[in-house]
Amino acid sequence: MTQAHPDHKILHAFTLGQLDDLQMAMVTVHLSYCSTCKEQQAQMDSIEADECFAVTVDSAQLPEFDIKAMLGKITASDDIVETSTAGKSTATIQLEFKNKAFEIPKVLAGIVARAGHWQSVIGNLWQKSVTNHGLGYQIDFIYMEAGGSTPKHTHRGTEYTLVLDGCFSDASGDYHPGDLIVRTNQDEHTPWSDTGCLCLAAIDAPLHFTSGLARLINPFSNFFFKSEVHKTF
Amino acid sequence: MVYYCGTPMQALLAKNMSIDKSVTAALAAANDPAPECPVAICLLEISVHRSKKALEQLFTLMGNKIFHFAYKQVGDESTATEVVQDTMMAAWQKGHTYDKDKAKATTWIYTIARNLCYDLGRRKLARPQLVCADDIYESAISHDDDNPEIRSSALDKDKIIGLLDSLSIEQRQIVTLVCLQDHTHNEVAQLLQLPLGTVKSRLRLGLEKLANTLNSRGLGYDTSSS
Repeated sequence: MTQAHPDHKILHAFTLGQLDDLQMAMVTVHLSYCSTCKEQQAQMDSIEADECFAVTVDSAQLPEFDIKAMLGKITASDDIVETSTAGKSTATIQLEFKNKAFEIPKVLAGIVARAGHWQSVIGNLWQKSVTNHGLGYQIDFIYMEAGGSTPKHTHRGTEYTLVLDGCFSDASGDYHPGDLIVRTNQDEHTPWSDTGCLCLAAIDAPLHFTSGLARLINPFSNFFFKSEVHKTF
Repeated sequence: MVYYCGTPMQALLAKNMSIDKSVTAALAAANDPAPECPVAICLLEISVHRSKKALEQLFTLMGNKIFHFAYKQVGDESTATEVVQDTMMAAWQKGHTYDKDKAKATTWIYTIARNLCYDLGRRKLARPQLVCADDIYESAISHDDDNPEIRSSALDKDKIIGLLDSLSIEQRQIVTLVCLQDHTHNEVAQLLQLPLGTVKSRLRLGLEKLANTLNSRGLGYDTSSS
């Protein structure tokens, strides 16, 4: 059971195809795990269809073109296209961490393809940064090894975390694959994992550490948040 | 916002559009308690009869509306026109994937057009494209760890569709219409212009053959050793 869901606004923007690539992919993964949101999104499709097709169209008219020729061209071939949707939804690609291969949803392939090597961040926390994505985020795959935790932190912007494998916890609860957690600068939290956890995380501003040694890092470095983002803004 | 499933769309279309009689006639006499949406009839006619007239009809019904929507989404006339043409192409080539249990016909058309807008609209962006509409919207169909039963029944449906290949074209058509798309025997008889008795006997023969194939092959179970 997923417990962290995208809000109504995000789902609606997803329905219209108006989220950025990263959020589109994250919501897709969440929907593949969460039948409640999936159903809500399908209802939005239906409502959008009704709304956009119910209008009487006066303003925008198709430009003049040879409709017969177009239809003729389309029907010239009688081939039908077999699109097997079953199986496609469960298609996966592999992501390796320390010789262990994780199966993650195929929709993330374009993001995995732009990911570098695993690097140790602090303690049992590892990151694999995604570069050349052209979006205004720092994007990382994060692996929290069993018993690992991240230092207590708040955010200056918004942090999106999508659980891909394993489980992590914070004061608000436990998160499992498909959970999409959105944190803003009001939230101070200390995530930990008892079992090990693979996530895809994106932040649109640097993390702000509020405890321990990590706090010392704040003034000097952007930690997760690298020059990549500044280039793209 | 309150979400609802019912829609005045069907009534609206039926009232305002004059639908080609040859298309509506196909289902008019069938004992269908809920009148079919004209767009649904077009899709059915296209996939079952490969009717070019129905495609033209679909274009008459939806062409301008799709253009209107696409223009709003992508912001230029030539891309919006391309979306209309590609949606018509999809109706011709993939009309058989429309499943009236899953969504209304207009929603099916909408999702096709919306996906095209998503992909075609992003062509002009300079930044790399990390995802495409097919990965996003199609893969969102069902993973469903929340409900393993739904997932396994989807897999079974997949296997059953594979088994349909063992039937003759006539049997497969009728089994598909009745068992997978839930049309009544009467509807199928009207649609295929066959006597009701023929529909029933083909369906029975088809199902018997499927049962035999199942018994020998099993649904995922290897029975060859027994």
